[in-house]
Amino acid sequence: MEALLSLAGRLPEWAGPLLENLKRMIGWMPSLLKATQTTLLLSVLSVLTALVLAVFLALGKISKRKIISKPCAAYVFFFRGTPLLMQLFFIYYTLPMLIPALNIKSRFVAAWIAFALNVAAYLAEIIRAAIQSIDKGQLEAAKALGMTQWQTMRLIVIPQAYRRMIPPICNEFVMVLKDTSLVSIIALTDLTYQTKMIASNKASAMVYIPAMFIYLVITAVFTFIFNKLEKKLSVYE
Amino acid sequence: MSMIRTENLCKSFHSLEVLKDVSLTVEPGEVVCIVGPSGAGKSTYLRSLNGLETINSGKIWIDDVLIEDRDKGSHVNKVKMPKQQRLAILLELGMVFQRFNLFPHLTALQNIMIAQTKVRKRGEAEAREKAESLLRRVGLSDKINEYPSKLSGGQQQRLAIARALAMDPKVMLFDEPTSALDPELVGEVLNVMKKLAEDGMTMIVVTHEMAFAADAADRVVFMADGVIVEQSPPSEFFTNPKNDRLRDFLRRTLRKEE
Amino acid sequence: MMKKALCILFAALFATLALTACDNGVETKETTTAAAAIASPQDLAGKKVAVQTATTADEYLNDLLDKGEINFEVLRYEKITQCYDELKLGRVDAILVDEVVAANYTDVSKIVWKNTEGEPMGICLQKGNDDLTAIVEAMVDTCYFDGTMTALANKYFPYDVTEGVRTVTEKPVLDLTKLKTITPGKLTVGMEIGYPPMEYLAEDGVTEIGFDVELAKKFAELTGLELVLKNTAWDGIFAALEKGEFDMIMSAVSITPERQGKYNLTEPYISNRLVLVVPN
Repeated sequence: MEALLSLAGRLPEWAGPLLENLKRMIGWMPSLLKATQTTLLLSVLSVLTALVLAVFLALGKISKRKIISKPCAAYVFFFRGTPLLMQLFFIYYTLPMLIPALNIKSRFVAAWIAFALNVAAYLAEIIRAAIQSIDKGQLEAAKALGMTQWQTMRLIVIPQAYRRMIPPICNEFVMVLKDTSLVSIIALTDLTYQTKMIASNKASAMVYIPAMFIYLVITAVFTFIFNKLEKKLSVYE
Repeated sequence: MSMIRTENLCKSFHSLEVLKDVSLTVEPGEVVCIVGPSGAGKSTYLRSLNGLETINSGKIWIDDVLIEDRDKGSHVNKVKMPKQQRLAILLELGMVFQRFNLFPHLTALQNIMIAQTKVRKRGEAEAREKAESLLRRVGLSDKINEYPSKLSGGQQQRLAIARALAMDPKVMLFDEPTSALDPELVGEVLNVMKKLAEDGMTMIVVTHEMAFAADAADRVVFMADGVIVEQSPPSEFFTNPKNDRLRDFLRRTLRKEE
Repeated sequence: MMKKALCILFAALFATLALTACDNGVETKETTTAAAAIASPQDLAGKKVAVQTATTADEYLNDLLDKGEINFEVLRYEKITQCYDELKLGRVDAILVDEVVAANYTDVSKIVWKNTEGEPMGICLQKGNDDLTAIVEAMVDTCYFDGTMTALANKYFPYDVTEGVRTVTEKPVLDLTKLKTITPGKLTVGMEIGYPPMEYLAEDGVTEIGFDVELAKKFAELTGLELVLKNTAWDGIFAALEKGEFDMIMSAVSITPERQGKYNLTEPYISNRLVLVVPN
């Protein structure tokens, strides 16, 4: 009996601060979720824009005409060979100092541009690899059947390639989602910026828990979507 | 009048000479089987006919039209022809590959229809009708909406044959059509090919199947080290080989077949 | 068919997102036009102000916003130098900053308002580290007495930051018997390098210079210890002190009641106040 009472007496001791922290974390959620909108918007927009750009880059890199393939290769080399953070700073701080006309006032737009340009380089490689992974024998059969290069690309290569691109594109998206945390340095209110504000201003390091949780949830949701998409498109394998 | 005529074809891959002055003529309706050891240049010869390989020098006529004329050392084809015309001539040749090379994202029907509609510009209904009749011809009517991955090797190759036939070629080129098949599936493909031969199609077949050559060929050609060593009708080829090399080859391969 | 549907979906998604983004991102367009009208923090309504994260300026603006009378956007940056970059590029209308820094940037900005409430700076040590605090106090007094302070002030500031801060009439006694540092033989000082002219890097990008840096060197001299400067990000510098990573923080630390409650702060060694700056 005494043991039970002492147990009941002991329970609230560590439960107290735990509940206190949980209450605080729930209190932070609204502002964190609002900031998450920016993170999501930036990630999705950047990847979509990059995708469009990447298709041209990939096809350009494959092209037999040096005048097209060399600049495309150079682009990919530059954007994969320099840190994203520096590219962001370059577009946001350096460019306006070199060419005043290129002063992008909006933080979001500057980040969008930087991310789109950067991710396009990575996506271009993914697309190129997927295209080139199509068995050469099929290209020969298409040629023997009289198809032009463009017809072969459009009817045979791309329909198969885009299914192979999905897992690596999903990976890239997940990486972009987390790379967006860099924009906190240019004071764009994304999830990371908001988290750091709460952490430093209200002096609470507990805020990193709900923040990381939100990133995890988003990653999980998008991974799930991509997996479903991949399954749907693999009818014939 | 010949269907395929080649004169002095030479082809090298870097420093390796694969075809050395190969000259061969194939008449319409003829079935010619090319046999020989690996690396003899048989596939390369076949592939230079429809442009999958570019020869270094020599002349190629298809249906009596000169399409390739190159001199040693020059990288230029002396025959200048508008693209459309060259394509039309290329379409007279149909090819069947060792690894089938079917389009995996299309059903059997679609595989056969796609080149018809996109290259020959036939209407959908016409293309479908032709596809269905060809599937019947090769014995795959029940697989019409299946994807190639669901078919056995033999079925896939028969589908590949139907796909090539859909373009109404005048000559069918077979590049080791049964080499990638399990032994029990070889027969169904060879049967389709035999029927094709009986129906009068001009065929050039690179193969290791000696029984087929003996059975269906009008002429058997033996190639080794990039040259045609001997060619003769099967009756003579197998029973009375004149060349030592051929004798040797036959002894080794026919023994394996027993 | 499925492909066409996907393409249309793709395009629609893209369009809607882009529109939302432009709404979100374009923000207030009147950034530079009405800048001239700012004469005090009350004039910041609808404007954008930059501050360094977790500074007293940051707190001041938060308190102002909490009052609810006016609304404005606060942009927080890790380094004060970034704030000035943004000001130069016209992306913010004003910066709230320590006066000691504002004097350094008169080529790009001008002070429009000064807080009547002064905010002198002190040297910050761990709570309870009374012995070392006493020694530091004595050293500051020594520097005031022997003219070091005045010399440094003249070197780094266009105005006298030492005016009225301390009056030292007789030579202070420097008792080093109780001297104890976290690493024996070394004086470990935490600073946020990048706060001109208090602590920053010279043109070579490597050498630390500044008011606090030179003062720290003087302290090392007086105590006979080897100086170790630990460059620490501002928003983690106090946590680092609490963990015991350095003996003291000499990094333009403003004295506030809150900080006095949590740490040992010396008496003021340099005067300061918050000022509001706008582009020239």
